[in-house]
Order: sequence, then structure tokens, then C-alpha cells
Amino acid sequence: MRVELQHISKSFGRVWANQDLSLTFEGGQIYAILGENGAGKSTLMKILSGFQSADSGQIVVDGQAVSFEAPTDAIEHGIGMLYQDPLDFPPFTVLENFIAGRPGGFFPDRQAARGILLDLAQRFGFDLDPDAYVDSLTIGERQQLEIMRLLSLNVRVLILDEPTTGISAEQKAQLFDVLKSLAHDDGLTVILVSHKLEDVIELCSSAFVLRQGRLVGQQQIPCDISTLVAMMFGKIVARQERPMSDLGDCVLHAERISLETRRLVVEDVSLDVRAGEVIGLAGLDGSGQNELVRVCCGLLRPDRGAVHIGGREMTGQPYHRFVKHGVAFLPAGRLEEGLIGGMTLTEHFALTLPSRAPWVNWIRARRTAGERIERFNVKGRPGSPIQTLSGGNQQRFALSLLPSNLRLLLLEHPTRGLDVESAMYIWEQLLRRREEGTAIIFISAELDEIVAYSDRILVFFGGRVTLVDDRADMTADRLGELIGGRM
Amino acid sequence: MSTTEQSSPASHPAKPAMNGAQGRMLWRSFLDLLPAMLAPFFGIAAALGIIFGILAWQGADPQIAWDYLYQGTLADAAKRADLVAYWMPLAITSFGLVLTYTAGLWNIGVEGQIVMGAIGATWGVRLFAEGEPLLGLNLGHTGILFMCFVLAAASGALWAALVGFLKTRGGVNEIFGGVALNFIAQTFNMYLVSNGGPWQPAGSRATETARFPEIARLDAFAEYRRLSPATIYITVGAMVLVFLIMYVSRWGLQLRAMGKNQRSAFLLGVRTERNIVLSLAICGALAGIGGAYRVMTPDVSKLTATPSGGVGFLAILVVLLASMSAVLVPFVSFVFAMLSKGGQRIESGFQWDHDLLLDRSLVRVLQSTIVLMVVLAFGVRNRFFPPHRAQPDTDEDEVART
Amino acid sequence: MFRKLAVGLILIAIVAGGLSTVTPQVAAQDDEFIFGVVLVGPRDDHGWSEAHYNAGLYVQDNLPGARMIELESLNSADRPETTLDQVVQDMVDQGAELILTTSADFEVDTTVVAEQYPDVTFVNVSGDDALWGIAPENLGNFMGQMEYGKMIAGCAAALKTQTGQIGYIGPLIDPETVRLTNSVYLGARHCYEEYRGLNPDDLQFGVTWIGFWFNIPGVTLDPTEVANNYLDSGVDVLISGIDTTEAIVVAGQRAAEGAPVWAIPYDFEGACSEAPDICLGVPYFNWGPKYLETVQAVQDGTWEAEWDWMAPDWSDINNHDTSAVGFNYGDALTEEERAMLDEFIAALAAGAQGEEGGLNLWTGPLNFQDGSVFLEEGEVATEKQIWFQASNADEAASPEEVTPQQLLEGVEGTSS
Repeated sequence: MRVELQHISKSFGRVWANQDLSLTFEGGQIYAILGENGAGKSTLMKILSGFQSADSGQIVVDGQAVSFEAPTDAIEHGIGMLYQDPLDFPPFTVLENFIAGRPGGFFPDRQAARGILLDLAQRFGFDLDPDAYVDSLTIGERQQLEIMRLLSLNVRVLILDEPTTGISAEQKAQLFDVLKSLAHDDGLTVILVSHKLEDVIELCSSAFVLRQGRLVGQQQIPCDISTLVAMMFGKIVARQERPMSDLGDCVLHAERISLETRRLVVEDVSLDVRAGEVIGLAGLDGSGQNELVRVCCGLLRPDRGAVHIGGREMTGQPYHRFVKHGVAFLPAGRLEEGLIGGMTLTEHFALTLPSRAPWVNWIRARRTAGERIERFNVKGRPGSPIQTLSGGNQQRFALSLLPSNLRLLLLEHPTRGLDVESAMYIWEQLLRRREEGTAIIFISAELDEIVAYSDRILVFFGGRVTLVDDRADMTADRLGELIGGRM
Repeated sequence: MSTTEQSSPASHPAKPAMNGAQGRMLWRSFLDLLPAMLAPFFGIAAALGIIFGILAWQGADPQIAWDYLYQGTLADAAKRADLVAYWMPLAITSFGLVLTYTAGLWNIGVEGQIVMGAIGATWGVRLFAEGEPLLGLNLGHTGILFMCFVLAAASGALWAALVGFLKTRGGVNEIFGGVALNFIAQTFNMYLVSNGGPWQPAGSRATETARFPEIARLDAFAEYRRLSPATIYITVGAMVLVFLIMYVSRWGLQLRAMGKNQRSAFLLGVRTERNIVLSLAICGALAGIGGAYRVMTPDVSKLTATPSGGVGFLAILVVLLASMSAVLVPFVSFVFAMLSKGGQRIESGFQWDHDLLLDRSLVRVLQSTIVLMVVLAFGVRNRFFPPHRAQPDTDEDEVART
Repeated sequence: MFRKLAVGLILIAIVAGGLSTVTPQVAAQDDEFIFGVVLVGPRDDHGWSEAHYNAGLYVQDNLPGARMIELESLNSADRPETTLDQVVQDMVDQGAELILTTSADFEVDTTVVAEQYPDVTFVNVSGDDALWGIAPENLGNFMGQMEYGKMIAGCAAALKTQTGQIGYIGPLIDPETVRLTNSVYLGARHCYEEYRGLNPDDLQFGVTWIGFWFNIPGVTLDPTEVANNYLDSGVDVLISGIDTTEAIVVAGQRAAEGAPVWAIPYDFEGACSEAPDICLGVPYFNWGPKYLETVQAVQDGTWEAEWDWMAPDWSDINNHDTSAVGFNYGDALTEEERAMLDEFIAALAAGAQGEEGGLNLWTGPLNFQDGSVFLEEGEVATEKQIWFQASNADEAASPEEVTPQQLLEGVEGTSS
């Protein structure tokens, strides 16, 4: 199937998200849509998948102009999109989610659907229990479910938005095999929206690069990563080497932490962290990293074991006591649990600036917002609602909200979904905090990031932990083995 | 509404342009707010249109109905006084609900909180004004009334805090907890005043307590014997309190943050559990005072079988229609009070003057139609007057600015 | 842009349409006599309130120039925005010279408003303020002697029951409702023994109080549920003591499913129409004659405050122009049962009129549920003893001194 986007333009208010974009996608190929945050990739793909409509321009499918009012129209024309956060219904089972959105009215044929689901799963080697509840699945598994759902609707063009974010290396390899097979064997068009240039090089045959709403060009792959980076940013970004710094007193002393959740048993994890130290937590999604981080800030209560912050026993204390003792936690879901959608930047400061007064000092909040926006290079105004910022800006803003003089900073995926430049900027800020004596514990799915910034690394596998403190072991290969469960 | 904005260049490098831009910004934010502020009123107008249509269909001249509505509510001073007296409990309860709804809590239990407030006020009367006063305290007229309001507020607050504890400690959703506590409060009230219950006077045949003794009755205005100035002062006080909380205090900002995203607010350092209980308790206290109005208003002065009579549920509609804005609450609740009283006047007017029997559920239909129409009005607003930057994908907002 | 304009214009048109007004006016006529009737329930409840509404219509039909203005469903659940005081003011503004408040729940408020409007005559139906001489002079009370109707109802139930179990759905507990419940029980016991030759102690008679005169969801017990529970537990005759018709409706549904059950509604003459085939009859109030008498007395200026407990017209209890209380036979009664009821009514009539050999069921020995004595062996109850269902009613100087009413020994159910 051949899909052409012709002269697509779309603006939000006074901002041009897409300006006169013309792209052509052929069947049997895997394309990448590349671009910095805010380059207009998401908008373009939402237009193609019927989620939004363009202001002007048209979509031509196999020579015929079509118009989409809703995603279902696009699916009818064979175009389906897999969103970054899969749009499923968590309280339902895998099978129910699979059925949802399928034609068949109110009384779908569950048996037939189950058969189709199992066939597809078998073909791709997905191990999904049709009766499991979706909220017990990892992001990778939810993605697999969504792909199968779209395929069962006879989608011929499959769009994936940041599909490798938050899934394990294994799942990623599996996903790429599936996509290749779909393109080469079944002749599907696969469109990958991604920041991760390595993924693009590995998977795609051609890349469209967008910048500031316009098409910069189309690049055939294979090519050098630096070629793509140059197209995206206009300049090559190099990874910064981490300066060494002295370590201070023990900030966190976690002793034989054990706890059991619905999905996982974490056993006997002990960890001492000293001021100025950076600890990276590696592991497959859901191997216990998140649980450990949450125990360290009082959000989870361990079944056994003790947590000391700055020499003070804090086990079982509530979160706000940890905060009072200089612990900060930055969760992965920025708009889900980190920031408050619908509130402005100034309001965020009004909310979080420490103050004894019962009223809000709006002048101070606004001034602080202005200063921090400047200092953290946040692209937004003090009065902008937070959700109008792009992901990288939200993350920078979230960092700017943190109080100074932290003892311990806990981060989940601090650079997830950010472009290289934003990610480096975030790390600059984090490293500056380290110089000030803040200990940092971060979870990341990027081994390079973990290797580059960590003083020590904890590798999680199925709730068990391996400590890597020998720099010689800190290679992506060695860590990869540990993550996969090979000791 | 923003065509000029769209066609204007994206950036204003020159300083002189700034003033115009700022003025336009102000104007634009005003235009943004305007439909939001007007939506409820358009909804009400549309609902009135529909209701008058129904009236015409039933054979009642809509224009006469409109006039009865006016006669029954605003035409003369006595009617206005009655309207204000009925409006007061609705308004003060709505103010309380602004807090909980802002914090994202569906305080369905407000009805029970009103009932508990009514019981609390009556309890005050029984303790301090009937028989031997508690501890032999002779509080006098003002003291007794003060204690009645304090007990009413405390009872309502306690009942609401219970909803909060059930939610934070017991994991019971506030809607279910509220419904259960409504039922318990109402049943307890019924136990007190019926079937020879402890608060029903011996030999009484009415499902209510005795009339409060003279010393425990609210003073009314000389000209309007059913309206008490004290209730007006307290309501205005409550309004000021809620305004301060909502628009000045840090706590109000915390509630707003919780309402938008409780999880984020918690991680940003807001003590969400404490605030849940506290906001419910303050709402309960105000609802409790509303309950005290219901029993202490001069022409009642006793605890009846159903002291709230659905005022709490009405207040929930008021707050939802006012989009949780404390500024709009007095107006929206006033319109609702008008519809209740005016609807009744329409009904009796047609029956008494024109021998035309209208259905007694007219008032309820009127109110439900308004809710429907206002919701529709909000839909129309969102569709044709979309608020700025409410686009789901905003990644590209700063594209043009970089 | 055009879309926005169009929507805006439509909205403005709607608002503007609502703003124009005209003044309605209906000239009050000089020769009119306006009387107000305040109903606690809906005017079409097929029960208590409808009986009063019909009495008002009866006055309009029989007295030229008389015009009723009424307000239905005045209770704080249905009309939280209004109090009796406000309604009375509206009615007085409308020109009402007589106002009848037709519920026990208006009793206290009526005494208060009666003082506010000394020139208007008030009647609280079923109250007893005038009995104690504490009411203002412009306030009177009246009530029908429904205990006879209830005795007949009890008798009909006893004649019909196959299981020997009768269920009574009561409203709330007060002297009136206990009096009527006890009347049903006395009538049932008498006929169970007299006409069916069975041991009256084997007759099971239970009462469930729903908590108010009619169902208020979430506040009272649901009478439909109460009725169903009764029928599930073996009761085959339901007797209603509440203002509305749930008992006969539920029994009718069960009968349609083939169950041998019957019901006796209350208050309203036409209440059997809900399920005629299983209706044993209905004891009803016929307020019309008393309304007419009162309106005429007020109009003539001869009205005086009184407490009147109106007896049925024993020559024909179903005479619409003379009898305050009646009993309509239902279709479910056989000829034989009708004959027995005729005999029973005749005996009651004889007793009420003091004739030799007449039947007065308020004759001792009668004990209350707690075992205390209501009437000694051979003692005949006085009017006040019956009214209050208390043995010391005649000695008491104020309502507070009367001992609380109680159900009779043998009735299953709570007295308080």
C-alpha cells in the first residue's frame, strides 16, 4: 500500500506544528520519522492516524484522496497507530482489550477472537495470557497486545510512536523481528517515530527528518548516526565525560530490604549511598528497581529491613517525612505523577516553595518561576499551563522545582523520551547537584546512560540485585548479561 | 475570537509592540473566560425555553408562567425575604462543596452532613434551652444560639470527616461512604423524631420535635418574620472564608492541585490525606450550619422528619454548574433557589387562578432540564469556543518561538 | 466564524425570549368563598390526600361560589423550599378565609400560624389541640371514627384468611395509628371466632411501621418491600394503614402470578380499583359533608372551635351526604362473606347507638402488649380512652400526662 501525505499543514494557535509537509510511504518498507522534541512528528502521525485533522493538505491512499474524522476511519483505510502509552483499558483482560474496537457489535464472538489472538501471538512468539489483566502487564507486553489488535483489524500501515521506550532489551529485539517480518514478508508499511538513532539505524530503511514543523529531508539507511544527528540538530552532539568528585557522608543506608508485591518479590536488598555519589539502577522493566526507589522515599513500606536517611531511622515513616529530611523523588510519568496538568508554571512554584505563611506569595512565586525558567532553560512562560510544554521542557521544569540542598535525589527514567540535547542538559543539572553533595539514585533503561553517569550500578533481575562497582565491569555488554539474568 | 492573534506574527521583537500585545493578551484571556462564565446562564435560559415549551403544551401560557415565577420570587419584599431564607442553606452548603470538589472529592455525603447539622443544632437547643441546662449553664439567648451553630458545625464536620477517614484509612470511595452515611444520618434523624423517639414530645402526633423554646429561636427581621439576619451574617462570613481559602491561601492552591492530579500533588509535597479529611470537615461544618438554618429558620424552629429535603443534592448540582467557582456559586445557587420557589408559585398560581393542574414534579423537571442544558452549553462552548491551548498534543507549542 | 455567530445568535434569542413578560390577572369575584386545603401527599394518591381533595371538590359542587385552592405534597422531602407558614400566607393573599391542614404533621405549625392570622379559620384534620383547650380560638379539629371502618376491615380479613396470618402495614406510631391497628385486630379476632368458629388466639396479626405516612425513598421502609416480605412469610391478607396503595398493588401482582392473596387498602373510596379482583373492600373517609358543614359555618359566621369525631351514618355508612366513614365491599368477597359482614356492621351499629345486644369491641378485659390493663373485665372504653389508647386518658390534664399508646396484647409488632 502506498500512502502519500501531500502539503500537510497544521497550526495550534499561532504555532505551526506542520508546515507544508509532503511525504510518501511505500509498502514493504520501514520508515523512521526523526526530529527533536517539538519538531512536529507526533502531530503529523496523529493526522495520518485520524486522531487529529490537518488544516490543509490531503492524505492519498493508493492514489485515492481520503479524509479521516476519527482513528476508526484511518483503521478502516488500513492505517493504525500504536501510541507511546498504549491506549488500553487496564481494568480489563487481554482478551477484552483485544476485542474492544473490533467490529462485531455488542456481543462479540469471544471464542473466535481468542483464536485470532492466540494465532497471532504464536506467529510472533508473544507470550500473552488472554485472561491476564492488562494492568498486570509490562509496557512491552501491552505494546504486543496493541500490535496484534491492530493487525487483526487488517492494518496495512503500522505507525509506532517511541515503541522502544520502557521495554526490555529482549522485548525490543522481539519487536524488531516482528516489524521486519511484517514489512518484508507481509508487505506492510511500518513507520517508526523515535528519538533513538541506534534503533532507527538498526531497523529502518529510510528516515524522514523534521525540524520545526518542516521537512528537512529524507535519508536512506544505512548511514552514519552523525548524518542523522546533523540533520536533526544541525550540529553533532558529543557525550560529556563525567568529572570525578569526592564522596561525603553516608546519606542512605538501606538494610536488607524485602518486600512482596503482586508481581514480584524483592529479597534482601542492601545499599549504602554517600553524598555526591551517583547510583544507576539497571534491569528489565519491573525487576524491582522501582520498588527499591519507592522504599527509599517512604512511598512503599518494606515488609522487612530498615531505611536510614542521614543516619536517622526512617523505616515506615510517611513520604512527607522523607521530603522533610532532604529526599526528593522524580517519577517517570511526568504528567501522571510528577507535575500537575492544568496548573501553570508559577502555580507549581506557589505550591512547592517552602513557606510558613498560610497565603500564597504570588509575587515571589512568579519571580522564582521566571528565574528558574531562565536558569533551567525551560521553554515556556510563567503563566503557561504545564501540559503545553514539550516533554523535555517538562522534565527540565520538574528538575527546577526541586528544592536546593537535597540529601538524596531519586529519579525514574530522568531522560526517557527526550532528545539527546535535552538529556544532556538534564544530566548537566543533575551533576551540578552532585557537586553540591546530593546523592543521586536513578533508574534508566538506557545502558549507555547508566554506564556514563553511575559511580556504582545495581543490576536488578527478578527482584534480586547484583552490585557492580568495578569500573571494568561497567560495559554495556557485561551489564546486558546481568540484566538478562546471567551472573 | 482569536483571528487577529493567529494572523499576527508569532514573535514581537520590538518593544513598542509589547503594550498592544499585553492588552490583547488581557482581552484574549477575558474572551477565553467569557463563554465559561456565560455557559451556565445560557444553559439556564435554554432550559427555561424548554420548560415554557412544556408549559405551553400543557395548556399554560408561558408568559403568565414567567410572571408567576417573578411574583413568587422577586415581586415584593416579603417574597424576596422568603427566597433569601431558602437560598441561605443552599448557598452555604455550596460554598463548602466548592472546597471538596476543587480537591476532586465527590462529597455526596453532604446531604447527611446537613441532617447531622440539623440534629446538632437541635441538640444544642435541648442541652442549653430545654429543661435543666447542661451543667446549670445559663447561656442566654445569644449564647444558646452560638452553641447551636457550633454543635451543628461540629456534627456536620464530624460526619464529613468520617467520610474522609473511610476514604483515607478504609479505602472506601467517598461516594459510597457518603451514600451510606447519608442513609444512617437520615435514619437516625427519623429515629429521634418519630414513633415516640427520644426527641418527639410525648403524645405528639407530628414527626418532629416540639417547637424550640422562645429563648432558642433566631430573631427575625421586624418586617420579614421568616428571615433572620444572623443567617445572613454567617453566610457572608462563610463566603469570605471560602473566597480566602480558594483565592488567597496556599491550602486552596493545594486543594486545586489535588483536584487536578492527586498523585502528583502528593509527590510534590501536598499532605493529601490530611487535606482530604480537612476539606471534607470544613465542607461538613458549613453543610452542618446549613442544616442548622433549615431547623432554626424562624418559621420552622424544630427538627423535622427530613430536615435537609434534598438541599445537599441541589448544592452538588449548583457547584457542578458553577464549575466549582466560588464566585459563581452565589449566583447559580440563587437561580436554583428562584427556580424552586418560582416553580412552586407557577404550579399553585395556575391551579388557583386558572384551575389548571400542572404536575407537581415541575420543579424537579425544571432543575434537571437546567442541568442537562448547562452541560450541553459547556459542550457547545468547548466545540465552538474552545479554550486556548487545550489541545491534547502541545509538543509543538514552542516550535515557532525557538 | 459563521458557526460561532450562529450559535451566539441562537443563545441570545433564547435569553431574549425568556425576558419579555406580560401580567396575568385574574379578577377575584366578590361572591366567592375561597378555602384552602393543604395536602401532605399528592392529590391523586388514591389514599388519604385524594380523599381530602375530593371533599374539596364536593364542597365546590354543592355550594355555589365556594372555591378550593389546594397545595399538594407539602412535606420537607417533596417541597424543601416551602413551609406551612409560607403556604398559608400565599393562600390568605389569595383570599382564603378557611384553611384546612390535613395531616398530623401540620398540627404544631397550624397552631402557630393560626395565631398569626386570627381572622382566618383553621382546621387541623386528625389533631386534638381543640380537645385540650390550648388551641387558639380560630383553630378546630375533626376526624372520622375510622376505628369502625378498620374493625370491618379486620373482620373481612379474618373471614378470608386461609393461613390465619394477617399483615398490617402501618405508617408511624402515634395514638391514631395504634388506635386503628388495634381496631383491626379486635375486628379480626371477633370475626375469626364468631363467624369461622376458630380460636382467635391462633390468629396471627402483625404490624410493620414504615416510618412515615407514605414512602420517602431512603427515609422510610419501602412499603412495597414490606408487603412482599409479608406475603413471603405466609401472610395472605394485607391491610394498609398508610396513605398510599402499595399493599393492594403488591397483592395484585402476586395474585396475578397465581398466589391466593388479598388486600384491603385504606382512606380512599376508589382504592380497590388498583386490583379489584383481590380487594376485600376498603374502609374510607368521606370528608365531604364535614367540609361542607365547616365552610357553611365559616361563611355564616357561626363556626366555633371544636374537636369533632364524626361517626358513620349507621343507617347507611356509605351515604355520601351523611356518613363520615364508610366501607366499600370489594369484588373478592363472596355472597356469604358479605352477609356475615352485613351482620357484623349491624351489630357494631347497634352497639354504637347504645342498643341492647349491640356489639362494642372496646369492652374489657383488654390488655396492652406490656401486660398492663387497658380495660378491666366488663369496662367499656370512653371516647378519650379510645382516642389515646390509654387507660388514664380521662384523668390527664394535658397531652403529656397521658400514658403512651400501646398495641393490644396479641398483636405482633412494636408499640414504640
